[in-house]
Amino acid sequence: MQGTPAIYEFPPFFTKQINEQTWAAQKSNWEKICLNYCKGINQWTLNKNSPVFTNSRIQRTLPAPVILELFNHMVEDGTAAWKIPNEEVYVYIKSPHLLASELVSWTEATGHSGAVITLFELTNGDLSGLSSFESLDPGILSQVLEIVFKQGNATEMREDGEVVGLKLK
Amino acid sequence: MRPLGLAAFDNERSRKKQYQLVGDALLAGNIEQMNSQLAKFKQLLANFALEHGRQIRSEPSFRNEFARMCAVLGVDPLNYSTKNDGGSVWSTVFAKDINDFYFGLAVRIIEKCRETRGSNGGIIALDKLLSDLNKGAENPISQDDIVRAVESLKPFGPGLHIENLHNGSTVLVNVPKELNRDQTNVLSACEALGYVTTPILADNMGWDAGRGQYVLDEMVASGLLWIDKQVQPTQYWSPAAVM
Repeated sequence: MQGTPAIYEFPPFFTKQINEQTWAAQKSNWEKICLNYCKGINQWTLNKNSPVFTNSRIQRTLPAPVILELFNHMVEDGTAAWKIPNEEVYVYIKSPHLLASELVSWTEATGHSGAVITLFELTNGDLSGLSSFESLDPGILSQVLEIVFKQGNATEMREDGEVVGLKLK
Repeated sequence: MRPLGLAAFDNERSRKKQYQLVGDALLAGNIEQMNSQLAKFKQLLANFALEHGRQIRSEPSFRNEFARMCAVLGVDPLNYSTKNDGGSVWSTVFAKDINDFYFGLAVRIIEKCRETRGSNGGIIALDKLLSDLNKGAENPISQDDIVRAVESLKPFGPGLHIENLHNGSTVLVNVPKELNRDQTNVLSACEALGYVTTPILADNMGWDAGRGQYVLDEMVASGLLWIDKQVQPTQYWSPAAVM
């Protein structure tokens, strides 16, 4: 992994520290590393087996119970949400609200008002200027769309009861 | 003829008084001369500081030499009086230059301590602090500057001080309580490998496992050391040089 801070090479960083203050500092360092890691590879989820939790150079792995505590901390912090409780989290490298407003300003900037786009178009990377949506996790996409619909910036298009696209306003 | 009897005492007394008077006059003359010389020196130093203010601020070696000169003359550039109206020459000269520089640096050091206390338990290696403070700095500072800035904070109490470890390395301690001898020894021992274990302490300091474990546990509890349980025997790492 590139661009990790020096603390990632510090072996005890992979053991939960006893001192409360130290543990708090440790968690916030891990949180930063997770966010950077996900951003770097454009990945929106993490689980207990994600490679970020193992540093093979110093042969250390963050133990699963500690990873769960970290996930809980990130959820509290608003930088993550549980996808599968106690297993996997969505990592908000961008918050759903930010993505929603990106979609709205993209619509205005590119003259797509009134256009209909499918979810497939939205996430396969064909629409230039919307790279944040490329291979976006469906779970996060639906959170974003919910916000956009609620704000009245788009209406949903359904097929067989499922949202398949949106009509932009 | 020497007077005899009780009068001798009076005589002795008056002579002593005269000696004293002459001595006092001489001394006063000397002091006056010295004072005027010192005042001249100080004036020159003040002019010098005014003239080279920019250089003093920007060049660490220049600054160190200047501080040394001040020390020789018994002038504390950090201690300026604002008692007299408008302040002394020193306050006007140094308020802009040296004082602001060191107090500004002191504030940055305290901020750094506060930022990192969570992860390093309040111990920072001076080398690490220096490189952090100089990161992207236009006018780099020297280790002496840090020492002087920390000294300028002495009136606020012993919460922040510089401690020399046995192996010659230096750390900035910003914990409310002083480190005890055992803790200092452990931190020094950490310098070699970055960590210690109870066997290492037993081999090098002759501590039995119980004593070593006790000291280490206490240091982990107060955040001075980080524990690594993924190896046998358990390693205790000093974060001072990392965070």
